[in-house]
Amino acid sequence: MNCSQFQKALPRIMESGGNAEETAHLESCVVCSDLVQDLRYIAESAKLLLPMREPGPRVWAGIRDALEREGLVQPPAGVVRFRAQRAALGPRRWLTGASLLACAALLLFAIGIFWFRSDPAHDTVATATVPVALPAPVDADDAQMLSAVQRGSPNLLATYRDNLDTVNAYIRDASRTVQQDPYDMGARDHLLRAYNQKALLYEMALARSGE
Amino acid sequence: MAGSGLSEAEAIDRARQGDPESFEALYALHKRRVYSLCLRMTGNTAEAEDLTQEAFLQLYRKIATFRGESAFSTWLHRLAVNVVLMHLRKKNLATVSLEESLEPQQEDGPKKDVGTRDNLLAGTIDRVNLERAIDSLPRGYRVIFVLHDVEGYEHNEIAEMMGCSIGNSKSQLHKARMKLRDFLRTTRAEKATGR
Repeated sequence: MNCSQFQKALPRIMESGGNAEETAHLESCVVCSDLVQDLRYIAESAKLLLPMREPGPRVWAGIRDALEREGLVQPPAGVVRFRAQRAALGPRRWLTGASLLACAALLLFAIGIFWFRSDPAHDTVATATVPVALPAPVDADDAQMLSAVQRGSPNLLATYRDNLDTVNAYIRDASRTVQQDPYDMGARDHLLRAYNQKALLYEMALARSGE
Repeated sequence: MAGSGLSEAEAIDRARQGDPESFEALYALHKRRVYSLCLRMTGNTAEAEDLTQEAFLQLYRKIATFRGESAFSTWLHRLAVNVVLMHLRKKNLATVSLEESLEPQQEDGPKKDVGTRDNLLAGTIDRVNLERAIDSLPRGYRVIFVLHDVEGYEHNEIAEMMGCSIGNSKSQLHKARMKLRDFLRTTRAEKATGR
């Protein structure tokens, strides 16, 4: 079997394995072996991609308006009056969605960090209790967040840990890309979304620790 | 769900009765996944936002029909996929590109580059570049790659959704992965030479 024949059969081989001849070629051919490894690596990496993107605020606004038009929901009376008043004011200058997202992400993250560092109850609990099999933390803030989850919802600790590992990996990747090219706006946007994702993770952990 | 105090099951029940808070709670819970799916499949933020809106509107219109045979997220996800595919079929260019991508095409010859272990992609791909690589795929390839490798649909499910054969789905997935490999190797090489 030559490379051409092997690579022609690759779609089937990738899904359900190869026959003896194809396996023998794979073991003996560096080019085809590297190709298969790369394709498998791409497929595995794709599974780890998170839903990182956030739709703009106009999406929910459009949904809400459509639901009201179709009579699926009723707007509160105060909202009806507010919209009438707002319509009378005319157009306003609003911050762009991107800068609002940036502010919200940084604010949430800062609030989360501040809460964990300033609340003496966390320090007390963190030192007084012996966490059961807590995995090695990335940093002190992440460790405190995971401790809060362990207190409030211990059955979700593994999930939070996995999500934290993944989002930290996103931050590392994006940070590295930005360091290589500070003018790469796409990478900067990606880094911002990664921090936003981490801020949301902290927010959920805060909510769980309060339950 | 953080912030609303409602569990997903409670939100679904209340949404059936027209409770606006529960609609918003369900949106907050699932918006990222639906929007990311739409964006990855279309490669266009404006289209993705429109399709996200449409997917959730269909959800709210049909929520009374959700019987719980599958997980709610699975049901919503499939609904969103169908919304995107319907949209792509309506667009002439996208329909052509999808159909073209499903036709057997003459591929380049077998890879003959001298491979060494140093050329392997393993360990060199970061998520930023992989997302960019996916964005660079032709629409038909991107749709199948996103559905299979990112979202986890099986080939028989993709074939049913897209009206193609399982063999075509496998073939186009393979071509998508090959294009991604080429893109990622090129990107890595350009960075190595200090482009």
